[in-house]
Formats: sequence, structure tokens, C-alpha cells
Amino acid sequence: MASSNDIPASDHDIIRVRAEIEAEAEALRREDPDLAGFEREIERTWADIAPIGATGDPRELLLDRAERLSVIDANVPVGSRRGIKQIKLLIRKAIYWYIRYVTDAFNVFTGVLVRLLRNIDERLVVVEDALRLDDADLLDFSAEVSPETADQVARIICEKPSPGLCLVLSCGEGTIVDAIQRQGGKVYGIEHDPQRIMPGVQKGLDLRVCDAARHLRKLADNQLAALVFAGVVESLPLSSLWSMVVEAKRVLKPDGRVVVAVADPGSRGVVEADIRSGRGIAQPTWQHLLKRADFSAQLFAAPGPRISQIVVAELATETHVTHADS
Amino acid sequence: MPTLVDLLVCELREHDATSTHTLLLRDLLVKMGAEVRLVVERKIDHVSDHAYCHAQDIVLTDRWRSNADLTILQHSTGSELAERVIGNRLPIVLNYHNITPPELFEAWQPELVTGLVSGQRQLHYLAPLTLLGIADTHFNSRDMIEAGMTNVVVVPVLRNLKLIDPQLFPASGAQTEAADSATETLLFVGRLVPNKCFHDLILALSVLIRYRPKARLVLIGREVLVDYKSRLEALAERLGVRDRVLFAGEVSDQKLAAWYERADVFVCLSEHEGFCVPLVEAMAYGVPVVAYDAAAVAETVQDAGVVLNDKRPTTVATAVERVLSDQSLRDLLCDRGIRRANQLDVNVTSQRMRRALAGFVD
Repeated sequence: MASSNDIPASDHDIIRVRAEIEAEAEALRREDPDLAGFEREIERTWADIAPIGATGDPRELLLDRAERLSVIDANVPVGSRRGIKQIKLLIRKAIYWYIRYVTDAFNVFTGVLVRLLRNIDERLVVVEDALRLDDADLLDFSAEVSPETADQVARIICEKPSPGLCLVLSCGEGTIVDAIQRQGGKVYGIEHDPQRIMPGVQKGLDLRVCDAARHLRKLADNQLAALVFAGVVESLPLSSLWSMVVEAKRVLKPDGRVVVAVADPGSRGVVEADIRSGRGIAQPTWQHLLKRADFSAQLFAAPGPRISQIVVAELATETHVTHADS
Repeated sequence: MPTLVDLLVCELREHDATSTHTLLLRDLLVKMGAEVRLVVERKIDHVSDHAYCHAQDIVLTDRWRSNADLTILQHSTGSELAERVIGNRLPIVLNYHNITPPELFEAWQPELVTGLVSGQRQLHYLAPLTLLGIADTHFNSRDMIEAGMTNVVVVPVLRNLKLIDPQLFPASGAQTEAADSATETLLFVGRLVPNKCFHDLILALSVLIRYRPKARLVLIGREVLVDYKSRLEALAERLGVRDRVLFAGEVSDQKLAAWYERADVFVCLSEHEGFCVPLVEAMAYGVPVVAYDAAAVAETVQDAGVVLNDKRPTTVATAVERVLSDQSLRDLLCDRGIRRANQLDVNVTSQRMRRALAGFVD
């Protein structure tokens, strides 16, 4: 089956071009704040012109619209043919006091609701600002997985006779992707940072810039033979991690396999532990999460340096996971 | 006795991919020795004057009696024909062209949603009646399998690329709108509907003209939602690119050929495409393709175009700029595009269709 996620090896030149383009666009946004602002402004222009609900409306715009739409006009329209118009005017005059009473009560209620929403929104912005660090360098703790650990992951993926398509989430420069490919596996990687993937892309690896959760949602059921959680996924909030585990269950084939190769929370230095979001998820916790999603999950020792164990899980609960490094 | 085949299609319309496919399928079935009746719900008058469609071949739904040896239903939206098939428990070959997700129309034209939802529902009811499912793409085949169909093959949309052959319709200066060689021309062809995201093309253009002040965007296609077009015009106006955007409307094959000849890059940012015939036409003309990876787009383009994961305006503008400025990339895309289009030409695809239907037509 030929789809965007099943691209033959001969396409790597086009994959490289795509990665270069996406990285260049990201660099342009970072280097030219005017351009980034212009991009947001024109997208907002369309959101303003399109009907409500037609775009992923920014919340401020939605609040403005909610405010406008939540007001009921007591002056009901009376425009019509001459005779009917007079009747409508008469009805309006007769019940105006009541209509006015009801609409005033409703408008006060919706006004309070919108004010409450705005208040929550302002507080959310304060919280988001407090959590945000704009200097990406400060947060750059995403060290690449060691070649030895990557080889171990690749052996686990490729030990099946025909491993099928494998996806590496948060693939970084592509060390794991490279290892799997060298062992004959069909594999691609997803990474949110376009600059990080460039060394791997230059080597001809199929690495793509994309949000991991969004990409998983786009995949069809039973599309993957194996899924590797790597890189910085352990920093995600628990709810996001759980959603990804549930999605993993959906996109994996019945005999599919999940491998978790993430840094031990204990391996973080003082600075990283203080600055980096989340405290990280330890491997036994991954095992627990995977078991809760009906995987059979086991821990195996890894060569390190920052990854002491990897988690290997399979969907068939009766199947006992074994591999060369057990 | 030749096999009598009823070929059911919702409507026949000029410049419509499903209609063209149906007529080519009719020709193929005739070549295979079958006797074919075209059964349609709606007939657009001028189609019967089309070079390869004759009014006498067409039966309207209310006059149709289902007594054929084989019934082939073209399914891309809810239809009365599908209801008749379901009501009569008629065994069929189902040729599925995908149904646009209704949510993409909800905000724009809620009354269109009913037909689409009904089409999705009908697909499930049609599943137990389907002897063979034919999908345009693997992407489309997933819907069929999900609906419960087990015997599904993939045969791309039949499209005779010779119909817009540049040798048949040389631009030769006659198409003055297309003849302006001083500008970089971005082209997209498709019905003017929101899921094809013409608005994203205009946004990308407004970033691109920072680097290419003379660039223009040419949008070809039938107007389906008047409201959508007027909002697109308002968007172009607000962004100061109204004079750089040409809404060419529905055009003749000759004009379409001229635009493909003139285009520097074909840009498709659709949210949903079950196949996207204009991508194939652009590739046939050697026009480099930049597209957004949605639905079946990557499957249609394969390695013959730049298929992006992200369609934010800067990313698309960067991609277009790269294609415009990198001659070796243009050459690569041009060569691969022609090769890919040849794989999808009717000469090849009709062979696949013939094999798929061989067991049904003697």
C-alpha cells in the first residue's frame, strides 16, 4: 500500500527536500518576528472572514463572537408586505414589555458568562506565559540516544521475520531510525524540531517534522508493525502520554510491538530537573501505563548512558515478549 | 448474448472527474463486449452534446428497471440510486470515489451535509450487497473495508489525459490570460468548495509575494458555494493581493490546457481528496507539484511532488519559492510527474479495471 507513511526508499531525495523546506520555513519564522506576526495576522484575517466554526478560531476571536452573538435584540424585525407589517408592528407593541423583560434577563446572564470566560482566558494566558520559555537553547536537553541503545532497539524491532513499517516518535537526529534501517527494517521518524532532524535527513533517513500526537491520530488502524517512543515524549503531561498509548494500541497491528527508550528521570542533572517541564516518567511507570492499555510489557536492561532500561510491549496479552537481549 | 450492464451514477456533468470516469468505464465495458445502460439521477443538459456521450444512452432513475446482469454503482455522495439498490437488495459492483467528510461543509452550507451523511450511511448498507468493491486509492479502500466489504481492489480513476493534450490544444498565444510570461503562475484546479482550501492558497500567496512580487495565483473550477467565493475575494482584498488572484471559473479543455502549459507550479492544499485528478493532469504537463499531505494526495503524487506535512503560509511559500528557484528540483519533479501521470493514464488504468471486472463481464 502506497501512502505518505509508506514511501519507497527511492523517494529519499524528495523527503530530504521536504525536510529542508520545513526547516527553512521554521528558521524564517524564528529569525524574522515580522514574518511570524504577519503569518498569524493573515490567518486571523481568514478566521474573521470565514463563517463561525469554519476555521480553528483563535480563542480571542471566539470570545468576541460569543459576546456579539449572545445578545438578543428585543426589537424584532417587522419588515414585510404592507398589511402584514402593520400586524407585526401591532404584535410587537402589544408584547414589547414582555419580550424586553425576557431579553434583558437573558442578556444580563450571557454578559456574565462572557465576562467569566474572559476572566478565565486572562488567567490562562498568565499561566501559559509563566510556563513558557522562549529561549529554546535553555531547554535543549534532548541528548541523542546512544548508538548502543539504538542498536538494541533495532534488534528488538527487526527480530521478527518480516517486521513491517515502524515509526519512531521524537526521533531527534534519527539514531534509532538509522539503526533500524541498517538492520533491514522499514522505518520513519517524527520530530517536532526541524533543525534537529537535518543531520539525519542529510544522511537520507526518512525523518519528518510533525507533532507526535497529531501524527498518530492521522494514522489508520493497524497500520504499524512497531512503534518506538523515544526522545522527549517522557516530558509530556500524563494525559497526553496516555492518549498516545491508546492511539498506539489503535495503530499497531495485532502482533505489533511498542518499545519505549527514554531517559531515566533520575539521570537529569540539577539544571535540567529544574528547568525542563515535567519530571519524566520512569520505565516501570511506562510498563504500568502500557499494561493498563492491555499490552504485555516487560523491562530489559539497556547499555545507557542515560537510558538504563527499555520497555518492550506487545498487544497480545498472552504473548510473552522475548528477544535476544533478555 | 452480451452481458447487460447498468452503470449507475448520480449525475453526469462536464469537467467532472466521476462523470468522465463513468463514461470511460462505459466505453471499456462496451469494448469488453457488454451492452451498457447509463442510469443517472440528474443529467446536465450540455453533457449529452459531449463528444463521447449520447443522449440515447442515458436512462433517468424514475424510468429505470433493474433487470441487468450486472449493476455498477458510482458512489461519492448520498443518492436515490443507492437507496434503490439497497431497497431492491441488488447485488452490485461498487465503484467508490470517497465522500467528503460532512464536517468540512457544516459551517458553510449545512444543507449539503445531509447528502454526505446519507452517502456514508448508504456505504454501510451497500456493503453486504457488494460483490466487488473498486476504490480509486488505498485511502478510499479503507472506508470500504471499514464498512464491511471484504472483496476490494484499487483501480485509479479513469482519466484520458489526451483530452487536454497540449498538442491538441496548443496555447499558441490564443489564450491571452495565460500568456503573460512576466509573472510566476501558481495554479490550482478544483471545485470552489472549502475542503479544497482555496483560502490557504491565498494566504500562501500573500507571503510569497514578499519574495516574488509578481507572482499570481490562478484558480480554476466551478463555483459551488457562492458565499465561499465572495469570502475568498474579501480575503484577497483584505490581504492586498486581489489583483494577484484570478478566479478563472469553469473553463474549456482548451483553456485548461493553456493554463497547465503556462503554470510554473501546481499547488494543492486540500484538506480532503479521495484521488485528485488535477494533480495528475498537472503532472502530465510536467508542472511541478507542491501539495499538502491530506487524505489520498500523497498516494496520488507519490515521489513526483513536494508533499508537505505542514501548510502554514510560510511553509507553503518557502516550498513554492524553492521549486521556482531550484532548476534541478524542477527538472526532477517534471520528469517524475510525467512518469507518474503515465502510470495513471487511461491506457494503463483501464487494463487494471478490465482485470478487476473480468469475472463479471464475459
